Amino acid sequence: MTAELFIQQLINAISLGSLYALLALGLAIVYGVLKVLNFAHGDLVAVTGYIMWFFWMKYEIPFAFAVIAGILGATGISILTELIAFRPLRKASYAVKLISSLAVSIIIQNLIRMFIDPRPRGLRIPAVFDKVITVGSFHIGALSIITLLISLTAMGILLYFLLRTRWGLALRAAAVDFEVTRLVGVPANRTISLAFAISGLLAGIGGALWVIRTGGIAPAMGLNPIIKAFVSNVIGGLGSLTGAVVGGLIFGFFDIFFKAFLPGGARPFVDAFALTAVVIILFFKPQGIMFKKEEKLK
Amino acid sequence: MISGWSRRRLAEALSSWLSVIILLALLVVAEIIFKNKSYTIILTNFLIYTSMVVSYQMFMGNSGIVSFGQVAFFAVGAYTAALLSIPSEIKEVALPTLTPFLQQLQIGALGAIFVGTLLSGLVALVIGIVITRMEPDAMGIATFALLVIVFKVIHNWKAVTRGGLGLYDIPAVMTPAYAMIGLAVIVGVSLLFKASPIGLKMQGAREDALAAQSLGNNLRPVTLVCYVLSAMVMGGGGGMWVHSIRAFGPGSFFFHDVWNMISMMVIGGQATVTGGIVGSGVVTVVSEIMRFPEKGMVIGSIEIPAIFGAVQLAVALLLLATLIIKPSGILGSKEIDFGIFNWIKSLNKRIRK
Repeated sequence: MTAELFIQQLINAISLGSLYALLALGLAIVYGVLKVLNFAHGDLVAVTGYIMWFFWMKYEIPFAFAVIAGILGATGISILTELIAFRPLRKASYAVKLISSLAVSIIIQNLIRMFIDPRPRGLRIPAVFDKVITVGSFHIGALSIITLLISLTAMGILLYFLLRTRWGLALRAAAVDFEVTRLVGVPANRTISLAFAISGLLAGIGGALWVIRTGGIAPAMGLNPIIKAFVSNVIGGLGSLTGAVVGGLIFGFFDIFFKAFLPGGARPFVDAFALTAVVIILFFKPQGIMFKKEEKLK
Repeated sequence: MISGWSRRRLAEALSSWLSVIILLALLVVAEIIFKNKSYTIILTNFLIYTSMVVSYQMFMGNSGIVSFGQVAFFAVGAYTAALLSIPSEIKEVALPTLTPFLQQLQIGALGAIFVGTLLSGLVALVIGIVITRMEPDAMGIATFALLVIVFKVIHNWKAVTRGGLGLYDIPAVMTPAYAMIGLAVIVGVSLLFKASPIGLKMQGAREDALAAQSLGNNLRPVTLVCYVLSAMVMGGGGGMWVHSIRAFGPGSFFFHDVWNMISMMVIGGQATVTGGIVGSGVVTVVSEIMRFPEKGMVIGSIEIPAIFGAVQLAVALLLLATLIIKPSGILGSKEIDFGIFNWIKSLNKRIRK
C-alpha cells in the first residue's frame, strides 16, 4: 500500500463517512426530542430519489432544481409522518413508537409500488459527478469531494442553528429534558415538528447524494441507508449528535478500507466484515463511543 | 427443579397450551378430512410461520426489546437443516466444493432440525454476549447488524449456500400434522418460559428495569438466556420450514420477514404467546384476501388492474391502527384460555353428586 493510495482512500472514507453522518444526524435529532429512532428515515431517501427522477428524467427540469425539489419533498413528508404516525402516539412507549415508524416505512414503500412503479429504475447522473480530479499524483472522484463539501456545509449550518438561534436552543433543551423545556414556555408540538423538518432536510440532502452515488431508485431502497444510519447512531451512542457524526465517520472508514484492502476472495463479504468490526467496538463500548461515565448519574 | 416456579402459573400455562392446541388441531383435522391442496399448503405455511412468530415473541414479548435480528436465526436453522438433509447425490452436483464430510452426511429431517436448533443457539450465544451489555433501546438496533451479517454471508458463501441461487431438493416431509407437532412444542416451550422464574424476571425488566435490578436481579444473564432460547426455537422453526418448501434462497430471510413477524406479533398482542398465534392468523387471512387485488382481476366486463403492494399496505395500515387504538394488540395481556381445568373440576363435582 503506497502512501498516495492510502490518502486517496482516506479521503473517500471521510466522504462516505460524512454521508453516513448526515443520515445519522437526522435520526439523532428526532431521537433527541421524541426518544425514538424513526425507521421511516430511510424511506425519505427513496422519496427524494423519486422526486428527483420525476423532475429530472420525466420533465427534464435542470438537475439542481430537481435535487432541491427532492430535498423539500423529503422535508414535507417527514413533517407529515410526524403528524400521522407519531402525534397520536406521543405518550406511547419506545417500542410502540419504533414499530409505528416501521409501519410508516412500509406504507411509504408500498405507496411508491402502487402509484409509481414496483420495479427499480435508473437515474441518469450528470457527467460532472463522474469526473476524476487529478492533483499531482492523487486521483480523487469529484463525487467524493462534492459529498464532503455538501455534508460539511450542512453540518456547519446545523451547528450554527443549534448553537446560535432561539429555536436551536429550544431543540437542545428539549433533548436534555422535554418536560422542563415545556414548563419554561417552549411549545411542544412546534418543537417536534421542527425536529422532523430538520431531520427530513438532512435526509433529503443525504438522500440526493445517496441517489447520485448509486444511480438508481427502487421502492425498498431506503433499507440500506437506514441500516447505515442506525448503526452509526449505535456506534456513537444513541441520542448524541457528536456520536452520530463520529459513528458515521467510523462506519464509512470501515466500509471503504475493507473494500480497498481485503483480498479479492473476501471482497463480497465487505459489509459482513464492517459490521463485525462494529460489533467488536460495541463489545468494548456497549453504550457507544461518545458515552461519558458521568452521564450515568442522570 | 420445581422450586421457584409458581404452581398457579404452571397450571395456567398448561391450560392455555391445551386450549390453543385444541383450536389448531381442529384446523389440521379439517385438512385431513377435506384434503384440499391449496388449503394444505396455506395451513402448513401458517403453522410453521406461526411457530416462528411465537419464537420471536418469546424474546420481544418477554423482554420488551424490539429486535430486528431474530430472523437471522431462522436463516441459520434453515440452512443447517437443509444442508444436513439434502440427499448426498444432489449435494455432489449442486455443491461440488463442499467438504466431503458434509457432502456425504445425510441425516433424517428430525436430526437435521435438531442440529439447526443447536447451531442457532450457539450463534445467539456468541452475539448475545456482546449485545446484552448494551442499553435495551440500542440492543434491538444492534441486532440489525447481525441480520445483515448473516444475510451477506449466506448470499456470498457460494461453496456452502450456493449464494443467490439457493438450495434445492430438500425432502418435503412436512405435513400439517408434523407442523402442528412442531408448533405445539414451540408454544409449550414459550408458555413454560413465560411462567418460569427467569421468564418472570425478564417480564419484570420489561415493565421497570430499575425496579427489577433493585430487587437483586442481574438482568444480563436473564436477557441472554431469553435471547438464546428464542433463537433456538426460531432455528427449529427454520428447520421445519425448509422441509416444507423444497427449494429456497437467501431472499427469504431478510427485512420482509422481520416486518411480517413483528406486525403479526403486535397485532395479536405481543405480551402473550397466544397473541402471536392470533396475529399470525389475522395477518394470514388479510394477506390471502388482499392477494386478489394485487394480482388484478376481472369482474364482469370491468377489468381491475393489478395493484402492487396491496398486501403489505393493508397489513401496515392494520398495524398502525392497532398501535393507535389498542397498542397492546388484540389479546392485550390475556392468553387464550378456555379454563379446561375448571371444566374438569366442575365435571368431577357433578359426577360425585
